[in-house]
Amino acid sequence: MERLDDEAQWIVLMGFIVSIGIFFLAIIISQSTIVGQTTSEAVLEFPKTEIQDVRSEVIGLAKAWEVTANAGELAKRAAVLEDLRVLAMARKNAVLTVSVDPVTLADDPFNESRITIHFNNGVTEYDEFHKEYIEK
Amino acid sequence: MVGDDAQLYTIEGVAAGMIMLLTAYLVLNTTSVFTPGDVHIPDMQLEQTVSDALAMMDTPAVNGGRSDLARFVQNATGSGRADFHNALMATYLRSTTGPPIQAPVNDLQYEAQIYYRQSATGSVQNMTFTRSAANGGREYLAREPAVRVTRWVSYDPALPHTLGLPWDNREQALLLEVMVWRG
Repeated sequence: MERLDDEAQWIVLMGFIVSIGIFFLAIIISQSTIVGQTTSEAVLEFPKTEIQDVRSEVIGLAKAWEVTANAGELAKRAAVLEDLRVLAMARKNAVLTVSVDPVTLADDPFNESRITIHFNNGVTEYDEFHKEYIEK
Repeated sequence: MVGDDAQLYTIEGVAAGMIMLLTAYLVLNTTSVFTPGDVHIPDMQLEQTVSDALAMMDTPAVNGGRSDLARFVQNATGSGRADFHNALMATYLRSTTGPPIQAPVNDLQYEAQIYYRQSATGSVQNMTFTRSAANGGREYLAREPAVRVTRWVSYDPALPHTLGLPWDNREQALLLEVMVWRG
């Protein structure tokens, strides 16, 4: 083998390393353009505010609804829950089923309202059983 | 006999070729064209802002009291419209440090509808609550990206309310829908 010209091997090696480094930086930059979009799409898709809104509405109703056996009052409450179901289906394309059952607690300064919430908009499903204490 | 001169140059050439090929692959594979309507970051921020504004409006000032938003909806055919507009635009959405910033810096427009269920027919109806076009704002031109924010509101016929409300006079849950856009 004839004598190879092995001058400047360090320069060649450094050039190679630097080009690999630039290559990795390019990957990071190319990812940064897409990350804001995917994050905000994920935030938009997840119905966080809708679930919070349903919770606050239903708990607000439960606080106002005392224990009763009055048929007229129970029918009125059923109509409100039916409003929630029908409007959620019509305007949000979501299945929303809510029940609110106030129960008398003996030997307790408070009564208890048992709330179930079922929310499903096809992408996100949310179920909750919640006890709200209501003043006697 | 194969000539074995310049092997280092050959290796260097192969390495350089690989780097160029990888770079071309990376560039062609990851470039996306973003158009203003495609980027959802402003939509997400706007939706969160309006949602927070409605949540604040729907929070009673005292525990167990009625919220401002519930009061506006009780008066939806009267003073509630102007009160809602002022609360949404002046108090919450255009609130800044110092004097309020007017359009076109903070140029939010909105249209609010109230949806309700008629118990006799079971059908869902709506009424136009208020909109910024009726208060010196601009109409929706169907080209701005708009977001829709909803809020449940309780209606109680026992509390003061204006006459001529289109929904049944019973305790019920209404759905307030606010469409907001920059325009």
